[in-house]
Amino acid sequence: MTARDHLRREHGDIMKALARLQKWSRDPAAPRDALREALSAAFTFMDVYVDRCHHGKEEAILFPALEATGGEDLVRLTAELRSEHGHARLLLDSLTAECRRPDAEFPADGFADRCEAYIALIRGHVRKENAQLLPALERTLTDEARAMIEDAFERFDRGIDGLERVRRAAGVSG
Amino acid sequence: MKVKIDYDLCMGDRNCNKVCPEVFQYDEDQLISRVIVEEVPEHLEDLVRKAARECAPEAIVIEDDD
Repeated sequence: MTARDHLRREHGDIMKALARLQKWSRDPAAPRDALREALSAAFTFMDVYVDRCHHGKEEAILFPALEATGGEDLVRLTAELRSEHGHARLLLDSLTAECRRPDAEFPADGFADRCEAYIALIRGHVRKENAQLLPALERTLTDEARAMIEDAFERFDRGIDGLERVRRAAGVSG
Repeated sequence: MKVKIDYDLCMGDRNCNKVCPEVFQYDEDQLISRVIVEEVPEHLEDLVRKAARECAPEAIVIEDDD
């Protein structure tokens, strides 16, 4: 698998997970316990698979490789993407904390809207990466550099605690 | 055959546009793909099925006539 295909496959998994999260967050009739359990699993997936694994390896491996090529456009793009990762992390932390509140306080008014904001951010981010980042990866880096990045991605994945567990729970292949 | 795209799932990686540009067009503003035909011409059906198989988030929905 190439580095581009590695990220593209993860983007597909992320879009499917967001659709599941959206379905639950929009269901006003869902029993509270079932809602809490489904959302808790979804937020765990977003934390481990999306933030720590996917965004983590982009920040640790791919972005520095692109930035090292010195292109101003690429430096601007990776700064923008890092900022979106940070924003997503804050929203996710806040939603996860809300999900742990006592029954009387969950779900609070506006919870579904806050989920929508997170979902919209990640969807837009994935589409931007597919439109700009992945073509830049193919265009800018040599075959050798891309192969090294894919190896580094594989090593990075192996170092993420709980990754296999959340992959299995979400039906995502490794 | 009819085909549509689930816009909650489309990740806009242009793969379907590359596989079958006669049916799928990339929207540069929204960063998603759009279907540009009402009915898929018979000679393009296999390509549309290939695009659906290769779509990582499974956003392409095919509605067969039968």
